[in-house]
Amino acid sequence: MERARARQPRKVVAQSHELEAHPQAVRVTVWLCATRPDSVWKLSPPRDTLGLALRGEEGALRHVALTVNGVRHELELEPRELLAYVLRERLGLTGTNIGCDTSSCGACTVLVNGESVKSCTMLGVQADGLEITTIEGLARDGELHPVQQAFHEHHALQCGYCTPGMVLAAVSLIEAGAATDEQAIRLGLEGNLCRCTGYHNIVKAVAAAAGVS
Amino acid sequence: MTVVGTPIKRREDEALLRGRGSFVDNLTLPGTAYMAVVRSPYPAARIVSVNLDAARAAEGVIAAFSGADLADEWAGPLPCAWLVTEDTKNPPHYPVAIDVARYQGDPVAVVVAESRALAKDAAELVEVEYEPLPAVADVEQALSDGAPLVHEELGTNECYVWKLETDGIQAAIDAADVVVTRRYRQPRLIPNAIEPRGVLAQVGPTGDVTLWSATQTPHIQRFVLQLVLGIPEAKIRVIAPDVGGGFGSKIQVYGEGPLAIVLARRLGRPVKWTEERSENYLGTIHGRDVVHEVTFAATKEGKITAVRSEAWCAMGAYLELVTPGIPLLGAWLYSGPYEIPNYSVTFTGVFTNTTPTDAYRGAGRPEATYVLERTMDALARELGMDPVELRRKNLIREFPHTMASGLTIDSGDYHASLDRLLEVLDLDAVRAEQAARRERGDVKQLGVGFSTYNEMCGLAPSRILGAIRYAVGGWDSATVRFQPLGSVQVVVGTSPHGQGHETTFAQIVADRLGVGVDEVEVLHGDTAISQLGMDTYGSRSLAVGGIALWQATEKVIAKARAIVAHQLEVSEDDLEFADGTFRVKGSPDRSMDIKAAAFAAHAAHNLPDGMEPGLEETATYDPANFSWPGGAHAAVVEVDTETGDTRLVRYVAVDDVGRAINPMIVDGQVHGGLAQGIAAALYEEGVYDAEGNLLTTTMATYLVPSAAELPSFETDRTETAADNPLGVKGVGETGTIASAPAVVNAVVDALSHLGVTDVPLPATPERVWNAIQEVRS
Repeated sequence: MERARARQPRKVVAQSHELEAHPQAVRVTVWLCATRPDSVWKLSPPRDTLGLALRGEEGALRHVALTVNGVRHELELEPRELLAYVLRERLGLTGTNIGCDTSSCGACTVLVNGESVKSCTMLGVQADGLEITTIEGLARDGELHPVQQAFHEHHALQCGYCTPGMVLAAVSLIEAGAATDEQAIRLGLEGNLCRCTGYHNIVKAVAAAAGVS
Repeated sequence: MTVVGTPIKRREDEALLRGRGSFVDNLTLPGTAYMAVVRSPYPAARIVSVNLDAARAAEGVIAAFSGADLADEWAGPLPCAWLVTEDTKNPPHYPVAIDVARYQGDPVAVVVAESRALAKDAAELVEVEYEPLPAVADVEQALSDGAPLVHEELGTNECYVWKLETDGIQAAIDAADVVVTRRYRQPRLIPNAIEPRGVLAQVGPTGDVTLWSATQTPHIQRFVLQLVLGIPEAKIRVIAPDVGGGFGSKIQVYGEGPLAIVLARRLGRPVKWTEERSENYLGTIHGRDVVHEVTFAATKEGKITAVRSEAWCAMGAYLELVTPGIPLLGAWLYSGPYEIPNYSVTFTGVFTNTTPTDAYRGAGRPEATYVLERTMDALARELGMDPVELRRKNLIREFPHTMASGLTIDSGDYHASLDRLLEVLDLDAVRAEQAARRERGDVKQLGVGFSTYNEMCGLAPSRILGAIRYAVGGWDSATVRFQPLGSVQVVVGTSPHGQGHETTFAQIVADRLGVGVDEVEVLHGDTAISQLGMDTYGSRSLAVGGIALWQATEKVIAKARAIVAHQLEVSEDDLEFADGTFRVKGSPDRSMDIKAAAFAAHAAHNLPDGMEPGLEETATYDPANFSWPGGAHAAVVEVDTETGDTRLVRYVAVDDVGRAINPMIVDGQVHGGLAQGIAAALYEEGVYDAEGNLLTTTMATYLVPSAAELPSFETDRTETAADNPLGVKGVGETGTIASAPAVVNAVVDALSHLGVTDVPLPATPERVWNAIQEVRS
């Protein structure tokens, strides 16, 4: 009971008053919900959080067309394949790191039609017709994106494993206009875990990139 | 231009920011097969049978094995390198259990398939028949009469008893004006590096082995792999590519590495295994899980005369690489930064049916510092003294200082750190706000807590390690190599996983050689490139490896000096070296820069008689003493007295880590360390039920804090030079060691006017609320 109680405030924040104060958090929440309607689970019932354990006739390949970092891909996917694994294993985009199997850590965050999504909460088949940006696609003409540059300037990464997801979550937060002050940044990034930095320099970097003090 | 001491940006960042990190799971070789491990769902069970037929028949499955199938592959069990007493019990531990599974997550079978998903599918088809056995998860219960035995053949769950005591401890306690005895339980912590573990094994046609591993210890891996597999170290290459955090949990040589090598050899294909997070909670070491009883004796004026600590420490089901030694890393810190003349520490290692414990950030030192700093506050309450004044009265004043426990602290100025802390904190203002809230009877009360600490790191002097029965040495090595055209390659024996060694080490070498920092390339983490090394843990990389690097650089300068003296036809003593150039004293126009000397060394046209060509030197450095950082920390918390909800509102850390080579990186290390100690104080706890089932197996139930739970930190430094050529001390663990007691002391302080004197770890809303209800009822 105690564990559940302790975790709860964070989730409540993300789903109640933060809905209005932090539109970015809403989008993440909506996407989380959108990946788990009944229609999806009919394709792949939730026996396993990774969606890996199920085979059989539901597993027939499906044709999916998606655009990743500006390149159109046509893929034959098993319905159970998570977007995170499609990016890593089918497309070789290993910048999208996987850090957990419960959609908790946010390391695999990508942009889907410009909004941040944990790519382990979405099936590859759901990306049909959508535009995905991964960390590999964020720099322009070889120049780091301002958020990437700010992470470098402010020493906002150490081991770098959470960094791609953290950067993309921050990009989305800033573009949504939700990185308005330190507290908003902290709440807006609560879905992305870092074990190295204590978040201090991440928050500084995001504030600098967002132009807030 | 000097770059040491400046916050230059990290060269490591570019690849990581662009998503080009070379983490093990990002690497795949042609023909790679994928391994999945079947783990025991029971904390203790006899393995009656393992039926692999269905798994072997499944789509894409290449092979499947039980522990018994693989028993002949092992030249020896997974070793423990630190049996702390002559009679420390070390039951055999193999990569896959054969007869009995002893903790939830103990591997019992393995499947190899054409893809990760197919391997995992097939793992679900393995039918293991278990006969569940009684299990015990709690250290105190494990020592009680009639407790289930983790290893029946041992006849006891007691692994060892280790003691360090000065004469006359009991007399000192008996003679004291005031005696305070407290009991503390420090729960399990689960390291949670964001990159789970992983290995990729390749065995060549002549039996040569390459293992890519998410490890902190490529050199130790190589050594242990020979012991487990019987393959000569000389044929083994271990590569630690980019590693996504470790915090101690990637020091160990886990079974999956040797297992992947054995399977790669049997199948003739590379074999890869990537740990999943839920698997990580069970299969990767945990930290802490210690119960302490601590007694302080003092005069009524507040001079502490004795400290006695007795601790019962969970080993888990088996001994990992250094499991029994973890408490010993804190054994000399129960007097901390204080001058305490009488000293006694006892550790009892205890087997339980749980995941093995081992090094987690701080390793033994946070445990010691926690009970010490909590008891300082308890003693202050008992004496009616201000906790800061009690600390001030007992802080060591002169250095070097030899402690009652026998080791010597080389340097420090603990009073300076405390003074600076109080200045940054503005304690009077905090106390005034606290008093105002108490006066008003606010629901949200304020508390301030302190921790003055020191720690012992920079592992470690080899002679001392030998004396405390650690199996190998604590030196490290570095090579500095001028390429013919003047760029510099540095090869180090330490193995970073986020600490920024490439940047820091380049700063040191560039400054000393007088070359540009971008002309220095730092190589590490591959035993084929770095032959000699003892890897990264225990805040040793700069304090030990950095000094080896300094020495190798000095040797390069010495050889270059001989070349220059020969070519300029002067004596070596006549040459001055600065900014990359040797100049003849008194004739500064006669000079030669070190890059020219490097070319001359490679051309070898005109070297002193008998000198070998090339300009490359290797040095090893075995420290004479540990590294002794210290400092003073304070936490300010706000506690909701109606709900128990606690928020950390300020955290001030003033540390003395010696000279900071790169202050930006030093601050980053402190920030990360603080977050882990604060998490231990308020959020994190690995929970087993009475039967040995781990209840916290996801990041949703084990509360790794997010940015939303933490404040920005206020960090500052005081500096005393360590007794080494760079004046540096370790920094990787200071924050974790110091912070947990400061935070809990603050929580207790916030509620002290209600009569609360203790809140158990972690101080969750429920525990805080209960503590309030207890004193109210």
